[in-house]
Amino acid sequence: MSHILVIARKDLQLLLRDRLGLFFILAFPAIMGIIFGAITGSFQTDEAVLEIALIDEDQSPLSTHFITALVDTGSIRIWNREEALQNERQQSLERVRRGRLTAVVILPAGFGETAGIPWSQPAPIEVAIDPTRAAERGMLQGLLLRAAGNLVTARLQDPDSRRILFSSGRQKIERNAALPAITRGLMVQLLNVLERQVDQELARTKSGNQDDAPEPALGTDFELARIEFVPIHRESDLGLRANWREKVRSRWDLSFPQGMLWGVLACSAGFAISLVREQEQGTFLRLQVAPLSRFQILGGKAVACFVTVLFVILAMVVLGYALGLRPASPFLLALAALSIACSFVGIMLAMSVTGRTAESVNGAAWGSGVLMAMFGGGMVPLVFMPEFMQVLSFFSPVRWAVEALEGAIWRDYSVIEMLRPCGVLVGIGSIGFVVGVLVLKRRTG
Amino acid sequence: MICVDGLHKRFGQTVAVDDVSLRIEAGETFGLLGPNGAGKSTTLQLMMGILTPDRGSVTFARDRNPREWTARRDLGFAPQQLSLYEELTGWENLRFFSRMYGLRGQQQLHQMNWALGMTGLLDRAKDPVKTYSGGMKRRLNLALAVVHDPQLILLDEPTVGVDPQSRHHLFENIEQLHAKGRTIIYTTHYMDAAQRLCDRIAILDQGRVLALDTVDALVTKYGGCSKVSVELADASVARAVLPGKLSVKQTGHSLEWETATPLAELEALSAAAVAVRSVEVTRPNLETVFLNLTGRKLRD
Repeated sequence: MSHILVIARKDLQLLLRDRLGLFFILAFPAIMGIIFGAITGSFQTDEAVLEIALIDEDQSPLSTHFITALVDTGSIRIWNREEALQNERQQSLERVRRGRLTAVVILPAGFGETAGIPWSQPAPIEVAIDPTRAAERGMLQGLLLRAAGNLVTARLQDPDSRRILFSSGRQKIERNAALPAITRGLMVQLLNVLERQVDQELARTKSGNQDDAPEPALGTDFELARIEFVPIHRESDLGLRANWREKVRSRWDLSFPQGMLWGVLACSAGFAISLVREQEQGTFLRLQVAPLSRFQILGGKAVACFVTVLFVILAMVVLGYALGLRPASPFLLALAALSIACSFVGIMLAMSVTGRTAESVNGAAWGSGVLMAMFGGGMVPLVFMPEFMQVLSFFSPVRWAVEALEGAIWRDYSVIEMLRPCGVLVGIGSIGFVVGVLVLKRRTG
Repeated sequence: MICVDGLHKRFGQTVAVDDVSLRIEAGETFGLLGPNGAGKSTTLQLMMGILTPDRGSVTFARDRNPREWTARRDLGFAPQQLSLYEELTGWENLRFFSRMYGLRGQQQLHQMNWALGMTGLLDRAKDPVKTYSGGMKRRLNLALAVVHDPQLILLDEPTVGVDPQSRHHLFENIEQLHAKGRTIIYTTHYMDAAQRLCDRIAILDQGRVLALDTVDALVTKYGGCSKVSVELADASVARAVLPGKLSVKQTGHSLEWETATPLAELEALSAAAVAVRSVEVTRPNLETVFLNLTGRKLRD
């Protein structure tokens, strides 16, 4: 055993003196993790917020109230709140054209006169939006209606507006010649009763004497319909596309497993190349002449690779932790790291026999590594992959490694669920180890 | 010390070693002399158990088989190719390989210092090997082979590509090891190295042993006659002084002939009072032995 450790120490010493190798094993994965995290983080916010420009040509109390109600929905951010930008219609439209804003909403002059009066013809709110943004358009429409509904309540609560509301209603009925006179009279009386009722209700609300009050005639907010959402969580199937948004806690949850895998691939390729280089430069021959078994020689290399893989994962976890990554289960993360290390040690040995020179193994190792990463979620997170790619990914060790890491970091896998990716990884590693040793044995006599 | 019996090794269609049998005694420096591709390195690798022979056997220290890795503790090997970790220092290389042979603690330290001292690398021991000259790397290559003080040392072309000074240093090192009673197997295609260092030599060509004996015996047996070149003051007497010699070639004042008894014939010239300007006698050597055995020069 001590010989294995001495060989491993020598390999780690050689690795520490190889600056380029160290860059690919440690710095490159960190850069990958951070860059991909920054990219994916931009569309992982908890709630969607539309950024719009709002041109208020009315400048009335009700238009101001409308804007406040719109912002209070929490789903709208107004780009031109600053005074200097408030009337920048052209600049706002230009930003919509360039995709920097979702839409421009224009409240026309006279908006406040009829806004919040259900029986009036409202001044049209202009919305400038790219027609292809159907989802945003629908969402914006809903938010505008919600804010408009809010104006009805606002109008009822303000005495002056309330008077205008009912008097305009009465005028409209009285002028409507299509209605029989008796109907007009009844409707006007109805409005008068309603107005009184509302006055009394609001007066009682103001005085705070609500103990024996019946149900309020009007709620605090006017709603066209009341919609209540009942949360029903889907069962975790593959745990991929269905529920990742709910489970991912930080932008690094997806990108750091990817980064780790690039480090692991670099590590595996590096040690595969070093094994061939030892054969080329003759140090492997010298080791063969020493009183060592083949198991000890390869074991030393395997231990060095194993330790480096674990170190890469640990270093990435520490960096991720500093940035906000919070693995769901440290125990399962350790299990994933050990399985990945086993797997990629075997892969390293198999890679080392793909060629007879360091150059050919270098090419083969990186080529196969890129393919494994491409189909295994090392480049594009598994959750974003189309179905056929997800099927192909089952043939890539990287996929199982990513799943194991994600299972421990954010998918909330149980130990039983973790056994599948970890078992596959150990199996792949064992096959790689056997293939590597047999070919090497045949090649080196 | 080591007994090789009927070794045969083939790589595809090429026969690398063909029925080689050798018996090397303890304390002997044994040379394997032959041109590149003669099968010297393959024979060494078969002797060390790195390659498996198709036929034949190797035993050393009476009954030990070098294929068993535990038996290789008493074996030191300096490959022809510089087999060093260039990123590590000389000291780190020695420390690593001495640990591979089970050395530790004070014994390890002592042996490392001895090996570095012997090869003259003590003051450069802490420098990375990549900063060494070719000669220094060769010396470190030797130091790594002997750091564990093995009884049997196998040196595969240990002086290839080094400057004369380093070559001389290496020869002295090998002579020191020989003086310590170590058994040395030395492969080379340099005749002078074999002639200087080896007690016995096996001449190899195309995987076969062509001749095996001491240097003198090989020269006597296969070297042929000495070549005598004489430049006379008076060319007219040339033929008269060597009447019995049919093979004498004359070019102006110069005479050249081959003889098994050069001294006797030069004495005859002197007795006849022939005025001689210069005399040169070229004795046969391993080069001529190889030429006579194969019809080719050693470095062809």
